[in-house]
Amino acid sequence: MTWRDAIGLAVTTVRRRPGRAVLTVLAVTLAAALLTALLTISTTAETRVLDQLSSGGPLAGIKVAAAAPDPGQVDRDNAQPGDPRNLDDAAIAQISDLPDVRDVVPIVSAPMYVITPARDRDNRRIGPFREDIVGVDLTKVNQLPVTVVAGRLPVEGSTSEVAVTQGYLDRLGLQRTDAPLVVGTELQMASPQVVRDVGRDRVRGRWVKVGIVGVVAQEAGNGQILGTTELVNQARDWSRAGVDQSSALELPTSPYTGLFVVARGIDNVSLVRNQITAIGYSTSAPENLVASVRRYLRVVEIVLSAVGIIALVVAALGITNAMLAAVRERRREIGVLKAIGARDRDVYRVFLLEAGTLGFIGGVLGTAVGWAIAGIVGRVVNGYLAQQRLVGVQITLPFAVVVGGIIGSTLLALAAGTLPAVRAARLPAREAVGGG
Amino acid sequence: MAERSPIGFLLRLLVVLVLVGAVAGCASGSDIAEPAPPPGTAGGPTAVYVAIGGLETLNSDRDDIQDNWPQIVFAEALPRGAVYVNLATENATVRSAVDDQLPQAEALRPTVATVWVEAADTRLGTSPASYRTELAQLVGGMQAAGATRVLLLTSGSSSSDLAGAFADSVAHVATDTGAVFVDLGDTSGRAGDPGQRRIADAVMAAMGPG
Repeated sequence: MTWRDAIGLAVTTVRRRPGRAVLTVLAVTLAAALLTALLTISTTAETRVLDQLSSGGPLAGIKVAAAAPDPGQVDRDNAQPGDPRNLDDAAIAQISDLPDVRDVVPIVSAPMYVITPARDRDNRRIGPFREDIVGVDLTKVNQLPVTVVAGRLPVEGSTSEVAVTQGYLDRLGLQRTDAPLVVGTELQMASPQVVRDVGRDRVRGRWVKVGIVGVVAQEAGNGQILGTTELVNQARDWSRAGVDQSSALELPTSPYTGLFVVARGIDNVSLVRNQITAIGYSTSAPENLVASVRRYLRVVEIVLSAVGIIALVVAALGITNAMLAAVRERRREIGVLKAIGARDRDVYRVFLLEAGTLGFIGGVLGTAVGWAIAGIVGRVVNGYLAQQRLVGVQITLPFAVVVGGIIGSTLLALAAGTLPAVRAARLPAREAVGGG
Repeated sequence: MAERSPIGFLLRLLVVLVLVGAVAGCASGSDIAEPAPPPGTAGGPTAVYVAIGGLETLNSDRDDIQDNWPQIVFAEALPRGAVYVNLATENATVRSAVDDQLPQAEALRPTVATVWVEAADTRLGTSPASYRTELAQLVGGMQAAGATRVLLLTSGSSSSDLAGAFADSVAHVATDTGAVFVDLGDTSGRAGDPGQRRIADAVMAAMGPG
């Protein structure tokens, strides 16, 4: 029997029993789809999410303080800054020029006196309080450790909108779940300036009325209010225009409160931290956190793969069962084949080809379905990330998963079909015909 | 009816699923769209309000800044994004206001201004003619700096003769310059919260909408 005859016979057999063929293919399809989707998602989680966030996101971010480094703590995630040291444009240029630095986001802050319309738990008015406002370039917010809890971020360049943090909610005696309550309310904020009036100094405020447009969790700087760089710089300029640059208020002299330096990938964070330390500034970065996240992702990948493999084993058992049933049903046919001269290996080849065909079709279908599922999951994830103003992930189907899915399913089907094929091949012709 | 081939069916299913997968993969692969920008509030201040005056405007004799009348005007009558600076000094006369407060106000490029300087001038015996000239200079300076609404406040019409003369001067300057004349009447209870509220209400009523 030639290969062509064997293939023809296998295809004819499949066509004669469409129900069983479809069910067997479906079992392989579902298993291959599950494995493909899980592998695609877990691969994306590790290489795309982690890497994409890190290449332009907070995980590869290094916080640089306007302070000298403490040599004993450079390897710690949250190093304690040393003595204050001005962070100016020259320092930013120097850090930006480092080869493994992707971007530098300056952070400014200013003290403000704040009047809130809110009342405390006893319905008493909350008096003006002093709080720092943190200003960032909101066009680069997706690179910063800022997450929107409710509402949205201020419009880029706006001097009339701010977001507040959980700390502000705490001040008002509110829980995180109450965040939407403060969105839409207004604050009056004053930047202080020391002026000389009738021979003595007093503080005068430049008040600005701003709307709270969102509640955020942020670690860009210390302060319960997040605004634009423009808003904060106006406040700082006002304060510095006072007597002796309002030095009586003990305002920080550094032009920038800090920087958020984004390294080219997580692997370069440590290197860049050392380079910034050599320039003379204190840094902190979540290196240990990232390492932990990677370990967890690896565990997740192993678990997901195990789930997919279990599904494949179940599918293999299904194929074996279907093929064994086919052998039992086709004893007479096998006997006839042998009676007209088919050898054991010819029968073996027909059954194996049948199993391989089912496995191949199931593998192709399963890989396609798995990719579709991963794509849908990716869209859902991207929708969420877009809400959070974070960079979306790109679901990619690794070539190895495509090849592995199809070839793996085929090989699995061949392995599962081996036992039934051997049984069929060893069936004596006389017994096969007689027992039919 | 011709018998349907299961192989053909599987092939058709394969094509459909591959196409679905391709579409889903491409869709997820594209960069996410930026959320639509909210209504614009970016840019410079929507309004800049400066308060020029003496103790009555500075209110340094009061504790609760939230209930000071200029603060109430700022909080209730000005739009989101507005800026407010109280330039008043304790013993300001109209002359010192022209010399000290006007340059600072000009630098802020105000759109709205309140001017209330009469107590120290009354106490020091400034001549009404001089007062009127310098007040007109003050208002002109504010208008030249961009203030489209200048409100001239006075409580003198209900007080002594000299104060009444100052009130008349304020009214004349308002007429001559196009400023808004605000006669506060009796402000003897100014230091209390109700007094501050009355003044703020009078200013806001004179300021009008927008």
